[in-house]
Amino acid sequence: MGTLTSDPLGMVAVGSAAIAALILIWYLVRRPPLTNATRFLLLLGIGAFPLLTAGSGNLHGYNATKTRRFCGACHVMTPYSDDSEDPKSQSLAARHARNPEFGEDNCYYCHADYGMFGTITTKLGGMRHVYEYMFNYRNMSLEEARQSIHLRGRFKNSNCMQCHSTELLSWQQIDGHKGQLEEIRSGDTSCASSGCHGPSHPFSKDPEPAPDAAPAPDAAVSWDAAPPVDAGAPDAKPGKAVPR
Amino acid sequence: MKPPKIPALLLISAILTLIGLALMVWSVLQPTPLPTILAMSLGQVFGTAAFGLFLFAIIIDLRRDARERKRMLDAMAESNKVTGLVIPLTTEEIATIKPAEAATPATDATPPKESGPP
Repeated sequence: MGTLTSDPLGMVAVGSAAIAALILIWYLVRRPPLTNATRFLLLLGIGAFPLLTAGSGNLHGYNATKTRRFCGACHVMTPYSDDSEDPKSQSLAARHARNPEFGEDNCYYCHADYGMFGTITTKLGGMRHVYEYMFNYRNMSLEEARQSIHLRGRFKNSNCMQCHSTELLSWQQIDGHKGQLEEIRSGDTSCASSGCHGPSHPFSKDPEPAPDAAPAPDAAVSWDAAPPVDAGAPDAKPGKAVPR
Repeated sequence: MKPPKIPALLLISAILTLIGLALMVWSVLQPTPLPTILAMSLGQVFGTAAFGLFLFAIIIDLRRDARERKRMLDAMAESNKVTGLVIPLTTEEIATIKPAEAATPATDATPPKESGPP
């Protein structure tokens, strides 16, 4: 209900649905003859108000799919969302969640694909998550899920670079960035790797033997042992174009 | 094939709309994956199908009305009483119509009395 009162779209959707429902219930109870007035009322009850409900409800739903509450609705994701909400957590995800520019939508901002069709591919990926949850993870215990759930691909640096453009001198002067600028920009060195700023969440897999090159983004690291390096303030707000 | 009954179509349409609206309101009140996905998939299907049925029913009804009106007009024309909205008169009937002299007001008619002061 909290989202309803804070989102006018939700109120419009529920209000127009209520009006349409009243018209339809009146029609179903009274069953009046099909005069022009009845036709007009039915046009409102079956056409106009439901269209308004669908438009505002879809937009509301689209916005709702970006929220942490939505992502944390599946039980296997609750540790991740709980950690993001924890004001004392030092994880990368939690620190980003405390940034008001990310706020409630911090899962989406970091995991969304960007680019022209980024929203579509993100939503398609989300549908695959729902499928996986319904058919593979629904009855899995949290402990089992922590061990088996993993990112499908490597976490892209371009997601981080939506805000951290890598162009600021203050960013380039950090020791860890200096020598690896091209590797970071190309994605060869992952920002979310355990040697840099990751892993983003304190719930990761057992450490995998990674003898060479860049460590895996999901490699487990104890937060008590190795707190992540603070990347400082982002260069730009999320969602805004960043000159590169 | 029997023509579809309009009240039945409208009944189905109204019920489908109510189901679609319920799904949509559920997704707004509880924005979690299951309600949201159901509203954005099944809810849309129900709503679109309901509106399609409604339009279908109204079109059928309007066409029936038009056909019925045409049939009545044809029947009236056949009975030689009325053709459309024009009443055809014979020449004898036209001749019997008096000129409009009756309609002109009489010049010697006494004007109405003016009411004086009380």
